[in-house]
Amino acid sequence: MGLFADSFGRNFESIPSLSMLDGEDNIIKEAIKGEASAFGRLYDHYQPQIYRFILIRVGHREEAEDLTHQVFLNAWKRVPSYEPRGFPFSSWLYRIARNLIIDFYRTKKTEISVDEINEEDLGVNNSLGESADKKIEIENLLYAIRRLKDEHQEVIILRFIEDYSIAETASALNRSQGAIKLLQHRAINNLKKILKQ
Amino acid sequence: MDNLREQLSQLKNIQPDQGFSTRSRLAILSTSQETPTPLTWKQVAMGIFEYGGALALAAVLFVVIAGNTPIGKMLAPFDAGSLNSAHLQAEAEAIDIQIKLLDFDSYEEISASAARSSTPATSSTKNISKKSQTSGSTNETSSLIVSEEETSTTILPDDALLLLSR
Repeated sequence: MGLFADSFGRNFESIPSLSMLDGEDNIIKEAIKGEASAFGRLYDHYQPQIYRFILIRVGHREEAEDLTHQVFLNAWKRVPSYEPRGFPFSSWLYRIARNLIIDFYRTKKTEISVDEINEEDLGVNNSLGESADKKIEIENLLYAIRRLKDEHQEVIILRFIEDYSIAETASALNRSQGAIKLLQHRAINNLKKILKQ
Repeated sequence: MDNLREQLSQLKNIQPDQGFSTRSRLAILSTSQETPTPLTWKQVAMGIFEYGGALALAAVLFVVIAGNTPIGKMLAPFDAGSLNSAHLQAEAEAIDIQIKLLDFDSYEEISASAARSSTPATSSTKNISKKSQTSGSTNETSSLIVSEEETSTTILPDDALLLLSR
């Protein structure tokens, strides 16, 4: 874990991340050089969480697949100019995903219902063998999350679904850690209110 | 709160379709990357030209604004109606006089040069007359001598001008 300098010349330590790959720095260096196998490892590791992030935000499997594909395609094309600045690689991927979701909603005005997410997509039906009540509970939860503001949704997904730290979430969402704490508090309160309704 | 966290963590079980993941991975890795190309001299020159032009324009605007230059007056079309005709006439007359005086000066110069140029001509006529005298044709010589006399006389500037104008 070395020192990194940001665009203002300030030095800081890289943000530790539990979600990082072993030897990720070296893998990223190889990917920057255009090594497809190195980028493939990054894809395998980060693709599921980016897919989840997009699926919960967008609420439709096919759209989520298309956007996830686009995120990694953009990342692969741009990775030669990627500069590690102490932030996890996932922060960069989440930023690409966020921009694509914004573009998605800008071009596609139709609101998609959570009902369109299959139970299989939720991983409830087969992998967990949950009861019907459990499925309804998760559907309600997804519905409640989607009723939150965009920034609250993002904080909920990263902090409580992906188990990101405050620092990681802050870097992924390009916010300060204080702002993330505040957003997290409000997001949880709002989510509770919606679930009680 | 714990119950909610537990519920949220269950969403981590959402997984993408395996078939989609494999297809997407292959498609992405078979795509060529965008290699950052170094800037050419032409691009650099164009960039300098563009930024330089923008800076120059900004500097001009700054000078105009800061200097309170009446740019409106500078750019407004000429208004002929605002001129005083009597004043213009007087000005025009004054210009005419100046031209006449200048012309007079030039006439003098022309006449002087004409007089100078006539002097070698007389000498040549003298030579010719001498040659003609030796040849024995007295009529011709007499006429040439007359011409010699005529050329040797001083010519007024006005006369010289008249001659030149013909």
